[in-house]
Amino acid sequence: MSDMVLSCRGLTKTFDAVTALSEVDFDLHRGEVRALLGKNGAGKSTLVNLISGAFKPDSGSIELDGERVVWAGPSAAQAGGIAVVHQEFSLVPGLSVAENVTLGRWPKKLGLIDNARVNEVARQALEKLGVKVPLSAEVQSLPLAEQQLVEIAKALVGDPRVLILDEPTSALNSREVETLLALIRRLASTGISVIYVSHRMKEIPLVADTLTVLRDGEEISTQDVASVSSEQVASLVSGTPEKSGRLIAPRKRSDRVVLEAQGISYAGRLDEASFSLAAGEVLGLAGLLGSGRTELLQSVFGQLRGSTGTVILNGSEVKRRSPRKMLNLGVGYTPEDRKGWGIFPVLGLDENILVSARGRVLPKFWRIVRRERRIVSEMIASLGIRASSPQQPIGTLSGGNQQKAVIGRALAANLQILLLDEPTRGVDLEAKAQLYDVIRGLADEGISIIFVSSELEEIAEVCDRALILRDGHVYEDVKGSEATPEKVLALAMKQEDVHE
Amino acid sequence: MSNEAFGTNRVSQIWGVIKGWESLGLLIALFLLYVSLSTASPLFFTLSNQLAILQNAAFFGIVAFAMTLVIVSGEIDISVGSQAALSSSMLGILITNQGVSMPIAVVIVMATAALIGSFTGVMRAYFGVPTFISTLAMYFVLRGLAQLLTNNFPFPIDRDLFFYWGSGKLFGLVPVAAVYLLIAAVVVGLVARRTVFGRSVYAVGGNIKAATLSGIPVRRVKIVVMAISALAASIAGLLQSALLSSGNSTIAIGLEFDAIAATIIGGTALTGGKGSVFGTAIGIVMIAALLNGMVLLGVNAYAQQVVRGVIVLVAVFVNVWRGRRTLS
Repeated sequence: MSDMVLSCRGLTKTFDAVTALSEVDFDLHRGEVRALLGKNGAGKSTLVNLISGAFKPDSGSIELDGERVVWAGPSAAQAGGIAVVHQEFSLVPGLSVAENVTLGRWPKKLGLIDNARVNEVARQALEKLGVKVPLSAEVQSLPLAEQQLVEIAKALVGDPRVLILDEPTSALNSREVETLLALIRRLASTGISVIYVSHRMKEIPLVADTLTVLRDGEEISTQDVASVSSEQVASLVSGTPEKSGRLIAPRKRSDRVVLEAQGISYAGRLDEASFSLAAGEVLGLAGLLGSGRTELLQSVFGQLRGSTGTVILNGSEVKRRSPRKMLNLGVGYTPEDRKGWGIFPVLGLDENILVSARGRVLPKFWRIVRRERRIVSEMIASLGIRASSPQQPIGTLSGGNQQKAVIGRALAANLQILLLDEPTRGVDLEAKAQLYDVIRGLADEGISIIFVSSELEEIAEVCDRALILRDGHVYEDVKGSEATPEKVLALAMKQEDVHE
Repeated sequence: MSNEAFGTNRVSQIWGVIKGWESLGLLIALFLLYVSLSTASPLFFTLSNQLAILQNAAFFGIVAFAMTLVIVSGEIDISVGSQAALSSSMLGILITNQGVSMPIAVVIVMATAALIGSFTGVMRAYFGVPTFISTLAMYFVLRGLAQLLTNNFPFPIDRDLFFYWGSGKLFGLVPVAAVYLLIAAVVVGLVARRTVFGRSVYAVGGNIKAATLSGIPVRRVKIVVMAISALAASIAGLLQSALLSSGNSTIAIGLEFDAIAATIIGGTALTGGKGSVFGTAIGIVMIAALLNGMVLLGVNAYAQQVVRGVIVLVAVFVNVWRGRRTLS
């Protein structure tokens, strides 16, 4: 076949006796967009890392344009025409767009950086992408969606034949996602082959021609996107039979208000936001990126210095809020940025679960190891956390297990109100479903939960009631059964003038 | 069902402990060092020499245990040598010049040290001054103060009891300083493993942002850790004074190096959140044994410094390499 760009045969990789990838074949044609699906730990990252030269396969071969290649490292693969955009940005915040796009291969003249060429190369790359971003702007001044474009432009500089995108939409809102998907189609039409890694099922038919599902390190299926329904894909990914989407009947809301926020404002991001949370309620907080969801939770939790407004807990106002104080009063917050703010990567799963409990449900000075162990094993069992031992460093667990541990930390401290900021971000489908069950179960036990999510289906599925946040202000208040994704999205994107 | 789950949990727990027992490599390295020094010099592996090693180890060892907490919390303290010198000088002035009684002088000296340590802690916790900078400044400030106080002359302290408590021998055999070292190991070990404060030190070093959100009193932890370090340094200063029978501003030059080196050799990560008192104990013995062995073998004094430096480089290399392996 003449238009075959990439051809992998029998790729196998093991880490310390764990087989991450086993005998995987993977072919990619010119201009093809291939979705790569699978749970966390299914082998997607390993496959990407083998193709892009970050790892060497234990066995198997990689052919690029019919020639066998053995990458000495990521930069060799890059020079050979394989570009990767990782989920975590690799931009330097303080440098300009042009400098970032050309990062690592700045054209030089007489040993000094040739700025004219830098701008020229960057301009060409952005043009290829068909977007306009000011070349001289500092990357840190750009919105997240534009940073993502800079990241892709950077990958396009070496004229790659294969472009690998690892969860490129996880930080974007729906409208930005649409733009990005259209962009990817355009790139493909110019002959670039794309490997598109994503957890978001509904994006697949919009962007991909074909899809490959990995499970437990093995290739389960490769087929045309058009020939398969999203339910079928979901069951291929999870390895369990198809399940029809369930809807939870919202329960009768308790009248007892446990938390009330009044007129919360913060530096132009929040404008007099108010809401109330009842006992045992799951309250969804929906809104576009930048609408102030995270800031609202952080203000209530006392993390944002300089926010104004009143928080009333069980009828009495909390003065001078701080995370410590709110925790002591039974309110916990799990951050959106799990790696940066949530976990203690080098500490064990057990320590990660126990930090907030100590000094609260556990004594302040001496540890009681026996009680700690009991708490940890209870949390591991009830949240279904999978780890080789309670002492396993949490940084080596999958995103879903890390998230469960962070929630477990709040539960271990016996907190009654949980503020969950994007708890399902970067979590695989199966773990997501488990998290929904966990959240519903906690609500049934009387714990009150605020649930922030960019995925509107989740709000509809998990919450008793949803609030729509727009430009830092809380507008609509929708019952769970009515909070269909379409309706919530329409409300979230509604223009100001309609309302006022 | 639940019993079964508990059983497998137990097995995997034990397996985790064995896999996580990084000190095994260290113990092997220590063993090899002892074997080679013993074969090289017949004087090395004798009771009296081993006790002498422990006595010498006490000066920097007590500081190294505290340094372990400092480095685990994500900080560093390079002012310990100067702190020890200031403590020694203060003791000499208070007793010889001011006629203060010994116990009161010791309390004043240690309290001052704790205060100075808290100061760098406050600078870190409330004003964000990195401890690398603040303790580098203190490295000069405290040494300078010691020299100002004493004009760089030793102040003789001739109290037999002080001499005994500092450099005497229990039952005419075991150096008292070695007992202090043991006590320091047990106390810091207990603090690190069995107290909420100790675990908080690991949490703060592991991820300070997550620690804040988890309700750990991050500032208090940082301040107390720096105070403990200064306190340990002043104890080392007092011990040195007793050995020399004088308050002295020129002691403990390079103390920070041996203390940091022992901590790093013991496997404590400079990035914070990871390290053990047991590992540091092995690091202390390794350094003390190596220094002692080199003297016994008549190694050139300048060459000894080269060896010291190289050992630390090797230790850092091993740490980084091991850290990388566990992450991937």
